[in-house]
Amino acid sequence: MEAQRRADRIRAFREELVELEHELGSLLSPPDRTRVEAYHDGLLAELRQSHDIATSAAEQQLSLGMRIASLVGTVTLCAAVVLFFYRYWGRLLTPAQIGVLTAGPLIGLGLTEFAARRERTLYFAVLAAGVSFAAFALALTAIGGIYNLPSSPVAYLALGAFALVLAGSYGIGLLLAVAVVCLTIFLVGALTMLSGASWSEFPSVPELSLLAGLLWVLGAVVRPPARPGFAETIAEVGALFAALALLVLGLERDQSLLPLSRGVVEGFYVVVGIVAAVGGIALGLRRQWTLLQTGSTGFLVLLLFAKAFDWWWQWMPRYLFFLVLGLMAVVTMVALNRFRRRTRTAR
Amino acid sequence: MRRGGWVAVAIVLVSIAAIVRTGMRNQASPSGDGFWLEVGRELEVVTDDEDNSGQMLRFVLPTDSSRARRVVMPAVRFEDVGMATPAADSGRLPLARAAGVVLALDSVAVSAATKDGKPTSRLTIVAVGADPAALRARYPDPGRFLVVGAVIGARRDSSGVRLLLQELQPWVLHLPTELPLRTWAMVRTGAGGIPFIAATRR
Repeated sequence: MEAQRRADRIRAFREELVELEHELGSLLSPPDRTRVEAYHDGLLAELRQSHDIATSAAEQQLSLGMRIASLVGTVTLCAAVVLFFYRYWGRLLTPAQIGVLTAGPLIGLGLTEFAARRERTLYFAVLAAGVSFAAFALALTAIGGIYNLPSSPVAYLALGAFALVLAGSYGIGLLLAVAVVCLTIFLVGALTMLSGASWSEFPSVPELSLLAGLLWVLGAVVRPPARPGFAETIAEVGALFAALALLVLGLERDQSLLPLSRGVVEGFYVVVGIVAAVGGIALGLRRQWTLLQTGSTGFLVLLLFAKAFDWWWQWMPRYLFFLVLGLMAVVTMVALNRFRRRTRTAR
Repeated sequence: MRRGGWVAVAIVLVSIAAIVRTGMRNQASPSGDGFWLEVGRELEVVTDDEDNSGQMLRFVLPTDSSRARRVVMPAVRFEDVGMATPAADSGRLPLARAAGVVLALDSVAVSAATKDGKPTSRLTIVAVGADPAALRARYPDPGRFLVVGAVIGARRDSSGVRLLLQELQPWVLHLPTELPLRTWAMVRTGAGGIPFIAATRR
């Protein structure tokens, strides 16, 4: 990631230098130009060698295509593995079923290691790691089914630990996101179970998801992982959990555990939602976490529109309702624009 | 392989070993009486295009809805399953919780008429409680009663708040490949309180 950014900066520098010299005339003496170009060429060759980066716009487009193909391939191969097993498992005796299910994730791990050694871009390693994860999830589900065991949040702990270890070892951001999701489900499910309820009821206790999501964001800010991009991924997935929980709490008044009246709970969580969204935007801008910033803006707009619908749709004339929504969008744009200007001044 | 890869291998092996051990310990109970259920009546074979193994048998209970397998239980009180009784008209409903149900074959319905040409299930819920072990002590005859884990939830409708069986744990029993699919399947509760199919017969 960092290597690609450096390469992008070099490409941008070269393009801008051409533009500048077109408008202002030559800026670098021939020896300086030769030195800079030689240095950049050497650096790009080194980065290409060590990280297999894209050094041109066309290569970058191809890299994006590879990433999309890798993601689609991961999902479809996972589906293929799961469906293939269920298609033919009736022909195997129980020990063979367990053997096949155990071998699946292990073969996937072997393929991940093999792919990671062969290519630096990790497109195939991501695919193999994803299939390995799916095979492990299938093994837990199917072996649990063979013995009729009830579902348990502990399975998500195992899945989360597996994804986390793979993400850390091979630097796969997608698996890190999966790990955060699994570990959150484990945490929230276990806490729900401790309260005496069935663990699968955790979506009905959105305050726990809110707490877990905010803890992930806090962790990513206070103690960010050393690997580039990992703190951003953790914060974004945590923020997604928090946002979903706040949407439910702001709209479904009976979902809160707070011993307060419905109106107070609703108002409280709308305010918390707005504050959290503004915080997410500020954090995204400060750390240059684009997805967090964009997602927080989207969440703010969605929350405000959903509440507007909740409060006013029934009694307002439709033209007035949409006018109010339009004005809210304008106010949001003005606020964001001011925020942007202030950020620019601060720089 | 890098160290993280070996840790991942260990996670896979330990997790699968833990599940297999739990399952095998549950089923390592002494032989004896079991609860015989008719396949196609109290147990239906789960089949779809992708899983044609015929190894999954689902409990069939009389439900109030053809869409959902949820069973309303008007006779059960909230305190029986450790829930506080909620207000009838408004307020937060208690969260669904794990409990146990006692299943038996309804003797009155043994000769029940068929529905759409299929024999109807005679399974009936005779008791519900927060503690499956206590239920097993109250209904000790494994040939007449089957105690199964369950998730019990609450639902508010026009007649107030009622308890319903949201889920049996398990709803679906695995028929080991070693056992042929026949007309009758014997379900036994294991040492860990988990039911399993121990035998089949014509």
